[in-house]
Amino acid sequence: MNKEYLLYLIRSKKHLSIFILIVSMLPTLLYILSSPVQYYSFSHIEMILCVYIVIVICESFILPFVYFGYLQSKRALDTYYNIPIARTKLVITNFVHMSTQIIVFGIIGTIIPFLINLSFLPRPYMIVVLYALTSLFGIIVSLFVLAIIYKTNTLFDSVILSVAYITIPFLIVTVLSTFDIHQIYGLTNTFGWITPHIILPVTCLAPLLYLVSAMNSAEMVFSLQYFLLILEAIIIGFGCFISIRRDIKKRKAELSETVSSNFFAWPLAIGLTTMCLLFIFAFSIDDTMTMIIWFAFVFVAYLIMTFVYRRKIVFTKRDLLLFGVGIFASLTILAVAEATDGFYLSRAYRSIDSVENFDIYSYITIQNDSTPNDTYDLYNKMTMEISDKEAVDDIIALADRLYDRYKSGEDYYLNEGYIGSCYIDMHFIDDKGRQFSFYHQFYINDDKDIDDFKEIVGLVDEIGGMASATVYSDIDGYISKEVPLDEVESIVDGLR
Amino acid sequence: MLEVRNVYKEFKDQKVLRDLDLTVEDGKVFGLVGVNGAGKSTLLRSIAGVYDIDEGTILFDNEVISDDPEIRRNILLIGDDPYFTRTSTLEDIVAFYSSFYPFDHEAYYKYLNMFALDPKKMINTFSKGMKRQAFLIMALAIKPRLLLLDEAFDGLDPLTRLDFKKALAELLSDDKISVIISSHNLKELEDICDSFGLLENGQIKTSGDLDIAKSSINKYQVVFENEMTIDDFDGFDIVNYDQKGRVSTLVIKGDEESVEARLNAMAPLILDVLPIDFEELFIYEVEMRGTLHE
Repeated sequence: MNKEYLLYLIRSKKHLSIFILIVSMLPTLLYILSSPVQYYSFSHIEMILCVYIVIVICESFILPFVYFGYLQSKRALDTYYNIPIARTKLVITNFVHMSTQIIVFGIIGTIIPFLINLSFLPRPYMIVVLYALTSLFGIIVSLFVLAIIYKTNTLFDSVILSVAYITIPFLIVTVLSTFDIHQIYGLTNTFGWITPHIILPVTCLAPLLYLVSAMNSAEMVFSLQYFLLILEAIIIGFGCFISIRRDIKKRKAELSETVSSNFFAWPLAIGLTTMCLLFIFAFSIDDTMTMIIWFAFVFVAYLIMTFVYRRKIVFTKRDLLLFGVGIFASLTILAVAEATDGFYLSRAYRSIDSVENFDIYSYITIQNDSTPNDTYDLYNKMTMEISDKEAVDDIIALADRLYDRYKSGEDYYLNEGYIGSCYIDMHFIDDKGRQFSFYHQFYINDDKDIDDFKEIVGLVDEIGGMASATVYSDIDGYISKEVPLDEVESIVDGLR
Repeated sequence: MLEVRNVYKEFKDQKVLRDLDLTVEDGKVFGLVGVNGAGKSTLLRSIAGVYDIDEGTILFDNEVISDDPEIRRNILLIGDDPYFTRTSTLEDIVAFYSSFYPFDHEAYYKYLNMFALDPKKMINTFSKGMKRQAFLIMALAIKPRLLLLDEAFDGLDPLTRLDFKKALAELLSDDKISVIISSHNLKELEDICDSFGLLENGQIKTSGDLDIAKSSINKYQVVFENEMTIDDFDGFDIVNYDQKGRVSTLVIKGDEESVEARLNAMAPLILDVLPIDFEELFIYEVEMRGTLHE
């Protein structure tokens, strides 16, 4: 660090420092002014601390653009790369001044109301942990933004790509979620365990906000996931630090104000975004024509992103090839997923030994001439352990039945002249905490459909029995009455 | 002393500096000239440490100019469009530069008065020429061992140019200070430079003492009884030829006395020797690598 330059920064950025101090203290001022002392409570301090966390993270995201904007200006670099200060020291001094202000002013802004409310807090010492972790995460966010600034050549690109790299993890989670819903039959929230780790840039707030509430809770439980998130944030910060350290020496001044063609800038961001969109549509759309249309929309989005990247309408063979590779990859993964039942993740319910809770909801709409659109609402919710092996086997058999219909694809299209529709929604959780859900809708068009429906109802009956049915008719409205299942079955048989 | 040896620098597959060699001794004012896009700014920025060269070495006092602040403290670049933030005043710029360089405040105030600039006014409100003056004051107050001025005189009015040349002359009273100036205003350079380098296609094609270079090329106006053509002057190292009726105007490279003697031997009716200035020297040197006029 360069002492003379630090002193210069302190003098020259005093207006910025005052602004940061005011922003950091504003919640405190509002808090003190809005409530009389006798009404102070933990909820007030909790609000202040949560706002403090958000302000620190926001400042840590924004201020690097102010302190390191010189990297993206040719004129500024003529000065900053000429003055007698090593480039590393220049960066370190700027970073230290920036981070110190954020941390110190943030603490100054919260310490007074905190000390006033000490008596409300069972664990006041946790404030030290909160300050330390918030400061750490603030530094990591600043390192993340600075790493992107070093990969980009204009201020516009660095701002857009900083936001993009925070957003792309959400896209990735959407891809996994779409794959889960559409390609992995039965098992739900398959990738729930990894989701927080992918969207860490936002979930880094979660551990901090949890810490705030933990200061007031009777029990303080920190899960392994909590510590893992902190560790991952540290790893990301360390990775950004290594990247910056390498780029400080390698970054060429002549790249400023040019197109940000570094691989980790636009090319990677555009590639990831396009691939995610292609995967989402490939996994979720069954109809070929609809898929082609949505792929066309993705292509338009790809063109727009390429235009923003290059600042001109240029589309090369390489761009076309990459998009083609993306389509090929998404369709290949889709084909493999369908051939392997979601990479063998589907039908995980087949290994269940016992079920902790189980509920099912189904209704059937029957159209007949005398009572058009009568709805028989057969609802059975059971929250109980089902360790009876036969009952569990019946649940698996029911899930298999629904899966077979789903895989056959015969229920996808609405056939003209259907005489009723059937909707079944089933959920259960096994003793290992895995969640399964089955939703299926099919239309009653023929005797086979009627038999299938009767078989499903019969299986449900064996598991727990249908206690009651609610009938809705266009004429009488909702009527709750006991409708024995054999009556439902006979009504259904009457449709043959 | 500055030594540039075998320097290469390219931008995106375009070679700007190719195997460039240059030496500027202490106490010299070196005029760096060249056509637009020749690489003058690139060379100055490479010397200043703004650009990293691809190959070769740049030495100052036998030390490689690198990221070492001690060596770079001797070098100051004033670009053609110096940087300042939107709200900066001259005082802010002084605070910035004095954080890194030894700063002669007495000299600063002296030149501030000379150029009549308001140190508390935002530089953003200055005219182009005033902005240039502001940074030239910095250079004169810092007194670096090697001062690099890119497009130094552009935007200055004649009186200010005169003041600046006087100030530069005062600066150069220190034998150890060297200046490299690039400018398109060759008439101004001629007054202060004692050596020059012509940058073309990424290399210094011609360099050396300015007066010696000028004296090695002269313009001769000759009138003969009959109309002559360029072929009649075979054997002369002709840089430029122009014929109007019986008057031939030749720019010939070579010792003035011997060329004059050879022309006299052709029995001209009239023979005048006209000295050329720096701008003409530049034009002829560049044209020599192109086509001759008839």
